[in-house]
Parts: sequence; C-alpha cells; structure tokens
Amino acid sequence: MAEMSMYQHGANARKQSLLITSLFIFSVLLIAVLIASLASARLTPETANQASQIVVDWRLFVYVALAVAGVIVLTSLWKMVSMGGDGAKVARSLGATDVSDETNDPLITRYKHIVEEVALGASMQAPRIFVLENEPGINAFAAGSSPDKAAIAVTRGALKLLNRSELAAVVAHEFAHIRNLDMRLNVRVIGLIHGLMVLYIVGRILMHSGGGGRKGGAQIALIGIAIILLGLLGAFMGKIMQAAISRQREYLADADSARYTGDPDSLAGALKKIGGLQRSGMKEAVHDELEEARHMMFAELSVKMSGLMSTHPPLVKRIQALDPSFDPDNNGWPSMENAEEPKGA
Amino acid sequence: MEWVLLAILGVLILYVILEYNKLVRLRNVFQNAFKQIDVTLKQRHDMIPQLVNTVKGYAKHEQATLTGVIDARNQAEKLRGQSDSGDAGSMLALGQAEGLLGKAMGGIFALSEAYPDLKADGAFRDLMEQLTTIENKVAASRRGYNNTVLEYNNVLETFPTNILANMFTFKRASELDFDDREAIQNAPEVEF
Repeated sequence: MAEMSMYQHGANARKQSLLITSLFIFSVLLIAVLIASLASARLTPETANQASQIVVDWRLFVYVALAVAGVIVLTSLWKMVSMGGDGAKVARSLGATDVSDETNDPLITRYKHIVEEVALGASMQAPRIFVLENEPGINAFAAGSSPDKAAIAVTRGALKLLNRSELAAVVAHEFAHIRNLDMRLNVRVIGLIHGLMVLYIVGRILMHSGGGGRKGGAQIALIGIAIILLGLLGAFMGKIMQAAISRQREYLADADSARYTGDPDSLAGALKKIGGLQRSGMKEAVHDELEEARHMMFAELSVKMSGLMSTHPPLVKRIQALDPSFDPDNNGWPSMENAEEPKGA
Repeated sequence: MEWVLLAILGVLILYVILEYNKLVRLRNVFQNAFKQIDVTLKQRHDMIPQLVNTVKGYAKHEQATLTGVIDARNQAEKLRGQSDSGDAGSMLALGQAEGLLGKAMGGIFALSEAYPDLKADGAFRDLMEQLTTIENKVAASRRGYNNTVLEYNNVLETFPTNILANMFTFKRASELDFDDREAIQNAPEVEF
C-alpha cells in the first residue's frame, strides 16, 4: 500500500465520491417516490360491481416528490457548503485557535517548523495551522476541501506529550488527508446524512399535525411515520457507510504519513502514546463540538467506539500495520504516568 | 461507419491530451521539488554564521569545531552556486560537501552536551530549534523530491502512457542518492 502513488489515492477518493453521490441520488429518488405514492394514492370505496381500487392523484404525486427531494437536496447542499470549502473556518468553528502569528511559545514554534518540514517532504504547500488549546489528549484534524484552503489543528496535549518526530508523523497523517481529498469525501457523506436526518424532523411534524382526526389525518400521520422510518434508516446506513470509508482512508493516511516523513516508527510511537493515555484513563475530548468532527480526528475520540460505527480502525491494528512486532499484551503500551497532568480537564 | 471511426479518434485524442497534461503536471511538481532542495540548502548555509557566533561566546576552546563548520559551509555554498541540476558530477560534489557540513554541524549538537551554560542559554535554545528544523527540512526536501520523481516515473513508464512519453520526449527522471543521507537521518534529537 505504501508504494501506491499519491495520484492513485486521490483517484480512489474521487471514485468513492462518485459512488457516494450516485447512492445519494438513488436514495433521494427512492424516498421521494415512496413518500409521494403514500401521499397521492387513495383507495376507492368498495361498491357492488367493483372491488376497491387504488387511484393515484398524479399532480399531487409530482408535487410531493419534488418537495421531498428538494428538502433533502437543499439541506445536504447547505451542510456541504457550511462544512466544506474554507478549512480555517471549519477549524475555528470546532474551537481551534489560529497560531500563525504566535511567536513566544516554543512548543508552537516547534509545531510551525514541523509543518514546514512535512510540507517539504510531501511536496505540498503548508496549510493554515491551529491548536485546540484545552484538549489534554493527543489528537489532530485536517479541514478544507482542497489543498489551498486546508487547515491543520493539533491538540495542546499532542504538542506537550509527543516528541518532535512523533508530532511530525501526526502532522504528516493530516497532510495525507488533505492530499487525498478525504475531507471533500467526508463532507459529501455528512451532507447526505444531514439531508436524511431532516426527513426525520419533517416526519415528526406531519405525524403531530395528522393526529387531529380530520379527514385525511390518518393518512398524513401514516406518511409522517414512513418519513421518520426512511429518514432514520437512511441516516443509519449513511453513518455505517461513512465509518467504513473513513476507516479505509485512515490506513491510507498512515501509509502516506510514513512516506512523507520516512519514519513509520514515530507514527507507531504516537499511536502507542494515545493507547497509553487511554489506558491511564485520561479524560478525552473536552469540547462537545468535536464530536461532530470525530471522523476527521487523528484518533477516535472515545475508547468505547468500535465495530461498524467506528470511523477509525482499532489502534492496535493501525500500530501493527506500521510495526508488525507490536504486541499490546506484552508490555506494549508506553506508561503515560509521567505525562504532565493537564489543567482544566 | 465513418461516425464510429470519428468517435474512436475523438476519444483517442482526448486521452492523449489528458495523459500529456498529467505528465506535464507531474514534471512540474518534481522540478519544483528540486528547487526546494536548493532553497533549504541556502537557508542552512545562511544560518550557520549566526549559530557559530552564539556558540563562540560559551565554547572558546572549541575553535577547531567552529572553524571546521565555517570551512565546510563556505565550501558547500561555493559548490551550490556552481551546481547545475542537469549535471550529475556537480550534484555529486555538492552532495558530498553537504555531507561534510552535516557531520561538522553534528559536532555543534555534541557541544551543547559538554557546555551546560550553552544548553541553558535561551538564544542558543532557539538557535538549536532553528538548526534542527533546517536539518529536517534539508532531509525532507530530498525525500519530497525523490517521492515526486517516483510518482512521475511510475506514470511515465506505465503502458500505454510510455508510448506517449516517447513521442513527446518526456525523459525518465532519476532519484538522487544523497551521500550525507545517513548523517542527516542520524542527526541527534535535542530535547530540553
């Protein structure tokens, strides 16, 4: 995997983007047609010479289908626009501080230098750099839909607890996400899930307004329930898909990080320190807003996340991909007890 | 029948244009990466006088180490001015001079261990950070160059792009093997 060219990684991300977009269009069409059928179909009363028949009001069908598709697509687009594009904006919205002009903190100076070094190794331009000041754990993220609008943020904990080459490996991992256009892919998936979640809200409104026993009220309530179910199912499937793609992109970013820095051991070292921190029971993720961006982070925010919904491969597997001799049961995790106790955790 | 032939011809031309542009883009990327090597070497040479001045005040008895660094720096800077990216001989000479410079600078890293005053000095600490990052940048720019050359060559030599590359005389680029690679990779990590 390490020999795979950067170009191909990008091409794969584009292919996955295309797949996601087609799946999205397909599910929007399916949902719109299902809901429109429910809304426009009527059973004719049974008469002596005719069994009851289904009659469809085609004009209503078209209106409802357009309305449903419009709501999903517009919500998705709005979310994509607000999440994508400018990485600096996304970083600020997640509580990160711009440190481009900070010169007095030696840790920040080192971090800036490291970003410049990695930019040379990856032959990319340096992104805007941010710090998540109140995060004691080791983590990082990249944002922005294209390399010239990208931003990178690392936690204060990462600045304090990682040595120089480990921090470089983490930064290089984020560079790989930028290069491979992973954020653009993620933003599309998030937009999709968001659009489907809106159905849930619309469905709830319809269900309540349909409860009054008026004529057709039962049908409206029924449509509401259908919309809720479809929206939830769609969002659930979307999240599983997002997690599966995200896990794959993490392995690729790890491989690329090793290529940019020429130093897979340091990446493994950083991951081991994260494992060590988790075992010492340190509280992670102080900012709730980071939860929304957990797929963008260097490591999973919560230890409990695993299986289908996890956006990252298990820590042990990521380390073993870099360092096959790693054995977690045989005294593999570094002790983080000497690590500086973070303030305000 | 003619339509089918025309369509096939159209697709072929489109393919040629796309592949040609891809080759040009990749060539620009690695040529730019090559310039970055020169930029970082220049940065390295520019900061050495400042480094030596700072160390001088603390380590008077280490004149030999410092002179060695200055000499190696001047020699490398002279070769950098003369080097021509197309000429393998001058590149090799520059690589060797940079290798010697890297070794001489390793002596300064070692000094910081022998002179506690030096290690405690704030200005020296800042300078060591500068030095560490410039050494890393020299190594990183070379790695970046070799990575981008590999990427270019992979595309260049893959069928059927290789036919195109021949037609438009795209040449295979060669990765650089740096003499001082080992010295740079073993640059001591300074922790304060």
